Amino acid sequence: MKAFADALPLLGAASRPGRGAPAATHAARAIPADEASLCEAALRGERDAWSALVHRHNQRVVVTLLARGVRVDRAKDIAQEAWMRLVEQQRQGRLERLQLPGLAIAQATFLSLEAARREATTRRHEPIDEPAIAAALADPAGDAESRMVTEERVDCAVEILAGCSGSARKVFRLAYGGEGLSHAEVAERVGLSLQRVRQILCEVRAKLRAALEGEESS
Amino acid sequence: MSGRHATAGELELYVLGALDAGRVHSFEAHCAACDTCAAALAGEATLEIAFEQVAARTARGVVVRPLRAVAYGAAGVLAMAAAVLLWIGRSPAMAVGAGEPTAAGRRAPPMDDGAIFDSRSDALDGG
Repeated sequence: MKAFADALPLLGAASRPGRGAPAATHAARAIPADEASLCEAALRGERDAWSALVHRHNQRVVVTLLARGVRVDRAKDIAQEAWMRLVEQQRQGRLERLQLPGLAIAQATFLSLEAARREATTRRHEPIDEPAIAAALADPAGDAESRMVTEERVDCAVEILAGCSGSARKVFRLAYGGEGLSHAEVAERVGLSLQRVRQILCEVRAKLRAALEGEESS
Repeated sequence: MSGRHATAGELELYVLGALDAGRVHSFEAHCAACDTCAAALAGEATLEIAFEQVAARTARGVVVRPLRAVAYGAAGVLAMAAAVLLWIGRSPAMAVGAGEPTAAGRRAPPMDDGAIFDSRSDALDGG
């Protein structure tokens, strides 16, 4: 962990998930706004670029871990470690391409699996502890599979989205399109207020939620 | 926050990254210790991932739709071409009606709808 000490300050921006937050405001220097330029700058080792990328994508990494059943405190720690490892790999010249958030998610997933494996090994050497077993059984990680959303439900949600207005579809696609845009950036692109964008997203999410959760649609 | 469970609104705002900064710490502390809220948060996060799948599939659909239109168009043209060829090849029969005896004394077979359907299917498969 000492090796990553230098990276910690730039990861401070990721201490709070910030998908809905505006784009990084701490950077006084002009840093490129588009993803490709940011990645190129990060690969050159520019700290501001790394900070902006972490700020942009960390929420997605944490949410992925949460969806896998990792507790929120652990998820944030693992996400932070994943970013530090990527920075370290870049410093050692072992990072040729940077595709985010996929790379950070893969790194975080690997770390969470590694932690789970370590934990399981430790448990094997421990005396049988009934409360600990009960706690392990109650861990939502075990239920991750049952929470998976089926293809049919996604299809159903796609149909519902197709029935939404054009502007609602556009806002939804920009917000969830994998570019890691903050709601403020989405608002800027579609020419609406941040409040209106969030309102649209809430409405669309509410419509899709029923389909994805397998409830009867009215 | 530590004394009560997270509300649906708080869970949604948190995964969106839009929960009020002053409430984030207590929310996270509660969800780290509470099985019920941890499971609810995991469910909300799963939904968030599913929304991305929906967006991705919709984006793919936009690209696929014109291709599908071209495939249907090509199938229609092929079907029409097949019909014209059949009509030309069996014009004596068509003149008096399918299945009726012709001047040559042969019974013309009815229109081969299956061939048209097959050609359309082939075109769709190819597209």
